Amino acid sequence: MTKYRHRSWRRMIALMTGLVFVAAACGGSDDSASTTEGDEPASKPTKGGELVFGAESDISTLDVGAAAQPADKVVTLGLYDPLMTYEDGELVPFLATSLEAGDGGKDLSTYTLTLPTDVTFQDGTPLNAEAVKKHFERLQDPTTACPCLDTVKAITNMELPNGPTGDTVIFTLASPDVAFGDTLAGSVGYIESPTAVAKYGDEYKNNPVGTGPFKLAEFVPGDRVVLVANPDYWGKDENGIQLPYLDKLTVKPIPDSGQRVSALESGDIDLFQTADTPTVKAAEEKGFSAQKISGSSSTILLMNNAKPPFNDVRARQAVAYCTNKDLINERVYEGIRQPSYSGFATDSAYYNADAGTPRFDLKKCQDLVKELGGLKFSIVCIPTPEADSVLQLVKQMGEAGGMEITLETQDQGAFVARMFARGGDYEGACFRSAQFQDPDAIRAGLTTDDAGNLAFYSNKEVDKLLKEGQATADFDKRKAAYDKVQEITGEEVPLITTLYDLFGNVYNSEKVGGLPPGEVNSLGAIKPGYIFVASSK
Amino acid sequence: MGILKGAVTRLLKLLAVVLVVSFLTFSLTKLLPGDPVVVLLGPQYSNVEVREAVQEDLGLNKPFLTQYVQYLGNVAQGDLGRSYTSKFETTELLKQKLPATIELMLLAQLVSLTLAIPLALFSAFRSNSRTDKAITTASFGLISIPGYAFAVFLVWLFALRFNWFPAIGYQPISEGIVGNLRSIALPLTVLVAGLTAVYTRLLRSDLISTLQEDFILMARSKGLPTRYILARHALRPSSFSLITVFGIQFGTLIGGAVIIEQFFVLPGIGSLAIESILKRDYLVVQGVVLLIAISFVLINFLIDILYTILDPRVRRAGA
Repeated sequence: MTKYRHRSWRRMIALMTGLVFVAAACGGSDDSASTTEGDEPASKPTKGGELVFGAESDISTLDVGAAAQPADKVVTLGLYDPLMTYEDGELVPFLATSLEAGDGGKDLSTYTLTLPTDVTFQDGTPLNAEAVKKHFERLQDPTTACPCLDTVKAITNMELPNGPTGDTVIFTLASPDVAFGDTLAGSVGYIESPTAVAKYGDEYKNNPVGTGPFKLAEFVPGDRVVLVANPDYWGKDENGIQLPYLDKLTVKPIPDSGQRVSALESGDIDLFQTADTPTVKAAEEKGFSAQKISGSSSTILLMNNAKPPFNDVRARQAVAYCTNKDLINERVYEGIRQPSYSGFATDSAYYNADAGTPRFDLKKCQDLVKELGGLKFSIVCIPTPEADSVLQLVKQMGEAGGMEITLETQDQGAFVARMFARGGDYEGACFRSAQFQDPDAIRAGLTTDDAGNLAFYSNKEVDKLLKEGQATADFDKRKAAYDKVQEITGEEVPLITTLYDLFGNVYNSEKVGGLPPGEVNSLGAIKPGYIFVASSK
Repeated sequence: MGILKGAVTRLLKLLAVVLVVSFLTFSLTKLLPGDPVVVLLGPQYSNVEVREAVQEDLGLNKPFLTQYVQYLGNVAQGDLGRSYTSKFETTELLKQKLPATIELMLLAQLVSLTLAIPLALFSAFRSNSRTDKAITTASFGLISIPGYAFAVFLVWLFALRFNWFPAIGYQPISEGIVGNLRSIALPLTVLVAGLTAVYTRLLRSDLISTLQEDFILMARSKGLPTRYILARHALRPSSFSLITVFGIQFGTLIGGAVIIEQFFVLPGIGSLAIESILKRDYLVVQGVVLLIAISFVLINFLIDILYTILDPRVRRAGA
């Protein structure tokens, strides 16, 4: 039985704020791709109390399937429960009671999902097979406009052997996919109340009803989301305490990172999330605690593999050899981040340390540029201080190797549209790769003509290996396939990963007792049901 | 009669302005590179079939003019459309965001005038005295400090060191006037500082020239009290530039509010505008711009009327 127990999965391509990012990446990751470090909860969880959480960006969606930004994730993980989740790097059922691949685990194109029989949505609707089926049908409808469309379209049939009110759904997929369970661990696996969808229609987005630990009390876009405990929540912690711990959680978007620290200092908020490394450091210096989360995701430099100058592999290699990631780390991130030479996290079981990805070597870079007779290109990115500092450095480094680099900025809306339209009208661009567990996550970014392949990379062998990796549950076979992919991409450099991201959940330990570990398939988000207040002195 | 006729003509002109603004905004949002559908679809955006389905669903596939005419028709009925991304009614979003912005702007204008008029009167009356120089220098300093920098300083001093006011957030008046005033104290101070400085300098220089007029000399020679002369004789003829700038400042305030609201996390029109522009949420952007345009035009219309009341010459010229 391939009971989702071993390797991990998750492949939602993440669209985020700040920078824009897609799961492209010259490697994939699986397994223990994400790590959380920092202050572990020192005190025992207590029930009750309320906290205010400062989010990095406005909450853009409360619907299922679409949550990608950490801010959206925190809220939606409160309202909904994913069918599957990761615990210590292992994929395990969460809302579901089990997920099994067909034919004793050998048939990866059929999956049987079993649900608990005693869970109801916050509006009293029972959770059953019909609700799950309707959920996926809704996401498959193009007008729902779910970024997950390709993923859910792979489901070709849903059978309810025990009837609509039963507890079982049998999924048939278009092709074998070992990462199906991983998919269900993301926002695609959040199940919404069919009654609420029917009642609110288009406005469901603002009236979300899930099975999660919190109910929505108030949503004022751009100002706050107020969540209150769901008294009928099914989940309990290991000590038998009913979740969530908190009575109320208010999430406030605070776009300015400096103001987030000030608000924590002044007591207006109790904790906040950030992707900005200097902010984490500044808050720690002021005596606040920080949970740091990193994994596979990193800021990447996309190169258009289909167009000069980067259709020449030597040009891509030259840029890679010229890029001194340690220097970027030191200058931009105060030396806290870790340079990345793979799309996989270094602690992933699929990470190939010997993939031969180019390391900084000015001489090699200069030789290649000479061989090419010069190298001239532009890099486009959105105008954030971070992107600006990184790209200025990349420009200087490239120029030391004899290149001519022009930096171009474009506002986020235009930039995202330009990249996602895949019109190919760029030479170099900044982006961010996804945070994922299952190595299949790299498939979209590297497969010829895939919507997620923004670098226009194409290599038949890589396509084949990625397909193989997706179609088997055998670890050794998968490992061999992804090792090879990393070797090929190490040589061909379809894109350059710079430094692994570092997400921080910064909190005032006088108010916050503890946080759950970071979600391994998300960019620093945590499950709010497990946040608790500090026990009163 | 003259005033009434003038008012009608002006109102008609204003209507034309609003129409032009609505058309320009509508065209500009369409001309901007980017597409709201990309925000919804992410990487699925390159899938033409899906993209077109969503565009059709949102009515974005129709010809430009059809979209505009439909939009105008809906606007005339008070329907500004629904946000593409959040699905909230634009009117609902505006209603949520207006109180903070209106309160902030009105209070900023009111407090600034209350401070600026006496300061300017004093400064002009005692021009070149030490106090005048101090006031002028201070105004000059306040104009020179960017609002953002001043905001950072205020947060550091009053929110972090003294903990008198919150660093972020807005409390609606309905939840208590004291909490409400505390929550806008810092952003209000930032706006008031800049405005007061401008108004003081402006009014002072106008007052100084008025005070050299013969009729002031006449009033003095009649032995009228200084206070009376300043308030009754000098202030009114000196206040035209002030009133003009006062109207224009509403526009500037809306611009400044974008930064101030973002910084202090106030749920206002400014932050709504910036969020919607970034998401290419056209209908919301158009709603915000339309609202701003109408308010701006109306305020300046009222100011035009104020001129005629203050200055008989304008009235006669109009007639």
